[in-house]
Amino acid sequence: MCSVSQFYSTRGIHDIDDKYKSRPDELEAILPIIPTSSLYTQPFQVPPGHDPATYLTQLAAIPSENGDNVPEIKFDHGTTTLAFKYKNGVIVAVDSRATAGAWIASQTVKKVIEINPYLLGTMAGGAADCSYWERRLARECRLYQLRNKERISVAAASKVLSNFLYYYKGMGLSVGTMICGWDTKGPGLYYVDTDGTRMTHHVFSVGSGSVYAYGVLDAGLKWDLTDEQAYDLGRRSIYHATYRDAYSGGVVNLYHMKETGWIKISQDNVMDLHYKYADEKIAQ
Amino acid sequence: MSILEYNGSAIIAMIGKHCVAIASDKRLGIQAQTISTDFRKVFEVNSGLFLGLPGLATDVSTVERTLQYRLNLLQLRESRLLTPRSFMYMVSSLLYERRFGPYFVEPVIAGLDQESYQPFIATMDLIGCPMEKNDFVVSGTCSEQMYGMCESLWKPNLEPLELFEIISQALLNSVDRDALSGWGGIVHVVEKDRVTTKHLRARMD
Amino acid sequence: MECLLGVVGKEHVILGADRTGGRSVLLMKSDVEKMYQLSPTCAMVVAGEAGDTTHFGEFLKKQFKLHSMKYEYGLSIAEIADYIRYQLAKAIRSRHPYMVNVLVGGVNEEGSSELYYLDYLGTKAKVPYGAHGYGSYFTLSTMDRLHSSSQNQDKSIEQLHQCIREINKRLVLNLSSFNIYIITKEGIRSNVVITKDVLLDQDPGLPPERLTLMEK
Repeated sequence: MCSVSQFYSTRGIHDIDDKYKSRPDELEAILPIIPTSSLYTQPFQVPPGHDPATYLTQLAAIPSENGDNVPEIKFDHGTTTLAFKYKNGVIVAVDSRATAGAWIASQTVKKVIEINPYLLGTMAGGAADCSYWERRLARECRLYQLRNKERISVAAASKVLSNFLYYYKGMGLSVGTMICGWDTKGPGLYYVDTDGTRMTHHVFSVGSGSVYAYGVLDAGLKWDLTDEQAYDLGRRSIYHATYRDAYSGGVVNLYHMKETGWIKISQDNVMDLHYKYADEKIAQ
Repeated sequence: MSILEYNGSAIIAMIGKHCVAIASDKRLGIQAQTISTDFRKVFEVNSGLFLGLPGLATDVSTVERTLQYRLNLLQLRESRLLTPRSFMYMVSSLLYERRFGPYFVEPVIAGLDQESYQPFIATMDLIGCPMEKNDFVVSGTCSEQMYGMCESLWKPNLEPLELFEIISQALLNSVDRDALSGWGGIVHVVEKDRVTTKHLRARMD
Repeated sequence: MECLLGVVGKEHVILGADRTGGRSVLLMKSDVEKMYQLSPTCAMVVAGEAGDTTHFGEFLKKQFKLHSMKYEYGLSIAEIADYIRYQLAKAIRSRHPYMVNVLVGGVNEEGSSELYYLDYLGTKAKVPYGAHGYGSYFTLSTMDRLHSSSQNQDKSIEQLHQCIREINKRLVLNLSSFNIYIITKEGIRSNVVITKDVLLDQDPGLPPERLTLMEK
């Protein structure tokens, strides 16, 4: 079973428990907020049998190379999401398509999760997994703020999420997310996934269309882009990915993370963008 | 994933009043990757007789080439044009020749009979079981969507312009719910004295 | 593992092929020639299973050579591509398929330039630019962004260079050395492109303070 201290026990915000130990009265004041029977101590209902992974294998198994069956539940996997830093903050751009096989289940998915006014998370992989765990992250971030009277750093927030996901590694979760924010160190951008990978860099793209997005993004990325140039780069990169990748499409949602928190810049239908860009190319 | 879905395609044929229409999407993909958005999968094998080939792209080319070759030779030999129904049986026979190693295409045939000007549409499975219809036929990766659209939009005795509108709407709205087809459309409307071909402006994602 | 590239421009076609040759994780040779000249103004680049590539390439080269000796007329690029497709489609339903992917490009007598994308199944598509292999993921969007069918040779070459740079930046595999072939109605010229290591940390997207840190 996982307890709250397990999630907090790694680098980033490890000092929280220690802080409470030295101040027992404060700890008691906090404790009632966390019911012992909550998700902290009884994380999830698991299927019958002592080993969830084995049981899941019978339900949704794909054969792997070494002959074992790896539990894998198929959710929507097709996505293009990207985020990059530049002099004025972080740009986040995503598509909006959800697919189940070749079936387009939705063209209007919100793949940017607004965790709080200073944190955004993107969604790639299982939609339910992403939205649930980022909702849990939002709660942890709020609790952190109440306990510490300051906002959680992007590094710490992404670490909390990474610890959540790593705890369930091998049980079929599927999440590939970018956590973007602004804290005392300035703009923050972290990539977190269900392998337990967590890393920071100035540019990321995640999802089946990410390879196409990178092609356009890398060619246009400079630190001192103007806001308009940065918005256009984010939009175009997603558009080009939707054109080549069957599992990406719909609209481009674009966000800008600033020192004062995030703002939503635009939402553009990919069809309109296609014909706009095509006209621009002819005009040249 | 079925091999019929490897490249992605969508084709519809519809009957109107003294006319028929056939429409297809334009995508050629290798699974998720779009290779071309200008790929031909509907062929005018005779004047006013169209063959649509959704399925595996290599077999689309092979079947089209083989059929055109056989049709041309037959028509030269007999100095007459084949009726759409006879052509359908020719397609069916070709597919059945490969009963135990099929071509992965499910053809659609649409045309006007050159003498009676009776509209004709038909489809068949990949080993050549023919199915003639007098309303509409669909084939491709989004056949469920196309059936839904056609069932709700089609009605008897459509004039050529109405037919064009309805087949276009049926195609566009079907492929918009399919990840593997779309990226533009092409529609041929066959009337007694002419064939009208139009390209559709579509979503490109 | 391998990567083929092709671009069509005004009265020219440029083909590109990486120069790696290896087995599983081993790189055995780094100056492999993957281009086969099929006519004075038409060539193909081939990638795929070792053995199949060279045998298929040489077989076709000789077939077209034989054709040119037997007949006085040459073949158009479309006809050449059609014949190659036919061979691939025939092979895929035989006991010995050619596991090869091909780009065929060339310039017709009247000056029009064409590029064909062919895969091992016998899929054929006429394209303004195309790519095979993992490199295609990073290059197709770059081409979508930049290409215009009336562009001149310099622009095509620059685009190809940009694609190769992107492949080197993002692909885990080492494909730093490419041959590029410039086909015009005068004939075929070839060039070697060697990309220096493109470290992500020297990205112009980095903030200036981190860039200077790297230089120290």
